[in-house]
Amino acid sequence: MRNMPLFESNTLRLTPIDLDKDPQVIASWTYDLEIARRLREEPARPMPAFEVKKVYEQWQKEVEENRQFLFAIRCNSGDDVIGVFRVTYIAWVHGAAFMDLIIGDPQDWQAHAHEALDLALRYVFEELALFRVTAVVAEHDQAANNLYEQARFTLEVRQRQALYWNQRTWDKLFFGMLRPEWKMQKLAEAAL
Amino acid sequence: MSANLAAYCGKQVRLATFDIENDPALMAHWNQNSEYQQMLDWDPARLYSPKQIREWMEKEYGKMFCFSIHTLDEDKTIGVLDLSGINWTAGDAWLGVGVGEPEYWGKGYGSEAVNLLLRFAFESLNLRRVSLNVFEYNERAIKSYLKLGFTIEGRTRQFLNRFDRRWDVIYMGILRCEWEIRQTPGEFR
Repeated sequence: MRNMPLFESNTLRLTPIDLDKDPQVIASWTYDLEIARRLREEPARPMPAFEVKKVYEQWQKEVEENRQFLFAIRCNSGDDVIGVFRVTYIAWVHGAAFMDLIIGDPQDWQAHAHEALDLALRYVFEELALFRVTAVVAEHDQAANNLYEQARFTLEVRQRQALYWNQRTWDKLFFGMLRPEWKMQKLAEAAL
Repeated sequence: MSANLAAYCGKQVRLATFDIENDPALMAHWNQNSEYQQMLDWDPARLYSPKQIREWMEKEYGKMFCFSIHTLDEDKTIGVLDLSGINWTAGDAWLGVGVGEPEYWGKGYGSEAVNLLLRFAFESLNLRRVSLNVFEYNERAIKSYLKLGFTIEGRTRQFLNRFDRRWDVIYMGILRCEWEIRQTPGEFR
C-alpha cells in the first residue's frame, strides 16, 4: 500500500493545467527567457497568452498518448498556478525520461522548489516506475543548479557552450537521478 | 568540379541531396538489419514501408539538413546523415548518421561523411558546435568520433535497457575551433 499521496504535500498540490486561466499567468513568466526557452524552440522570446495556450494544448495531446505528463503546481492556500512540472521524452522500454520543473516567481522558487521536486520525483519513480530521470539545466540558472545538486542528482553531462544567454555562451548541464539512488535517499530520510 | 560541389566531396564519399524517389526504399532495406537500428536509436527497432519513410521525410525535411552518403567510385548510396534540432542562438545542432550497408562499416566511409557534414555545419551554417549522442556498446562509432575530434562531454548513466543489461548514453561534442585546427589545407576537400 502506498502511504503517501502523489498529488499533494505540505504546502503544494499537483493539478491539471487550466487552459482558460493558467496561460495568462505562465505567459507573464516568459519575460524571463530562461523560462521561455523551455516553452518553445530557440530563439527564446516573451510569449503572449494565446501562444502559451497553444503550446499546452499540443502538450495535452501528448499527455493523452502517454508521451508526456504535465501538471500545474499550486499552493494549498490558493488557486493560482505557481509552476509547471513535466515528464518528457519518455523512453518506456528503457524506463528513462527527462523532466522539467518551472516555478515562475523567484520567491515561490525559494519557498517551494524543494517540495515541488519531491513531488516530481515521487511521481517519476513511484507512479511511472521509471529507472532514471534527467533534468537539463542551463549553467547560468544558479537556482536550478543548486536545487538538483542539493537533491543529490549527479551532474552527468556538460555540453560546452551549447546555450546563449545574456551576451555570452553557457554550458548545458544534464543532471541525472537513478531510482536506486532515490530509494536509498528515501530510506535514509525515513531512518532519521 | 566547381568549388561549391567540391565542398561536399571527400576521397571516398560525397554528400548528395536526399533522393525522395529511391532513398526511402534503401532506408527500409537497411532497417531490416536490427543491429543497424539498435546502433542508431533508443526507440524499439521497428519497420516502416518505403512509402511511410517517404511521407515522414517530406514532412520533416524542411526542419533539418539531411544528405545521402554516396561512394565516389560507384556512386552507391550507403547511408544518410543529418543535422537537426538546431539552436540558432547558440549555434548548436545535433548530428545523426547511419551507414546502412554493412560492408562499408569500419572503413572510414562514415567518418569522412561526418567530417564533410561538419564542414557544412561550421563553414556554411556558421554553427559554434555540433553535438551527438552514441550508445556505450557502439565502440566503433565512439572511436571514430574521437578520431574526428569530438570530446566526450558526459554520459547519462544506465539510460538504455538492451541486450539484458543497462548501458550509458554517451554525449559528445565538437567546437568549431577544435574542428578547424584539425583541418590541414586540402584535407577532405
